[in-house]
Amino acid sequence: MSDRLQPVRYNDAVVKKFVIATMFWGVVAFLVGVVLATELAWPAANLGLSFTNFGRLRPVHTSGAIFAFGGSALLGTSFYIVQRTCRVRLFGGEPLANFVFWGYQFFIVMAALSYTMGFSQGQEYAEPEWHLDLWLTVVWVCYGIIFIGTILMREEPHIYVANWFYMAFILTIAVLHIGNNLAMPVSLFTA
Amino acid sequence: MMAVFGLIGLVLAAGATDNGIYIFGLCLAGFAIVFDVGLIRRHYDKAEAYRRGENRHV
Repeated sequence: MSDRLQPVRYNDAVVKKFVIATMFWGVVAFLVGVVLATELAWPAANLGLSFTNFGRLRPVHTSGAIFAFGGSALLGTSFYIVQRTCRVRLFGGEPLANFVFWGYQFFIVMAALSYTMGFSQGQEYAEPEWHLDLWLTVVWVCYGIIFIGTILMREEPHIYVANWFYMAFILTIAVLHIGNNLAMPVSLFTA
Repeated sequence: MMAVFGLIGLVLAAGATDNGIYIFGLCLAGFAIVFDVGLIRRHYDKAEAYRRGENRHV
């Protein structure tokens, strides 16, 4: 049998992880939304605790829905689609794909933790402090390397339009992230 | 790469002037250790599966 007819063993493990993360973060984000709606109706529902304060939980809900739920869905579907439309495994192998998955989840958990601790830049959808922004930049660059690398070593002559859209998404988020989060920290050891 | 991130995390935690950097630094170091242990475990799992002739890793 020629190489072209050999079935490609795609990296579906990382896609499954992203799907599970998407469902998990969806439930978390929506539950926090319910808590926030409750606090709007009954302000005493924050129990008088600083970390359940409406102002601290609100970015957990918005970032949880957009970055955690939506972001995990987009990363997972992009990894699924790019492999099949290019007929190759993900560029960089399993370790790099796993780094993107766990690195992204680490960013989400750290961001949520920092919001509830009261750390925020105070800018909508750009709330994480500079150290978290830098971490997300590292993860996003690795994601871009995997995606574009997979397209560069494709076995399919055509680049499907879905991949162009995903590449535009990767570039747009990178520009948005850099432009919206440029900051000069007071010191390397201060959030 | 993860080892370098882990060291950066420890340096951040050591010099932190607030809880935000302190907790992030410690968590980054912890994340780096767990990720590296996972890489080592995966390598040996793969080697063992290859020896058995399974090679079913995705």
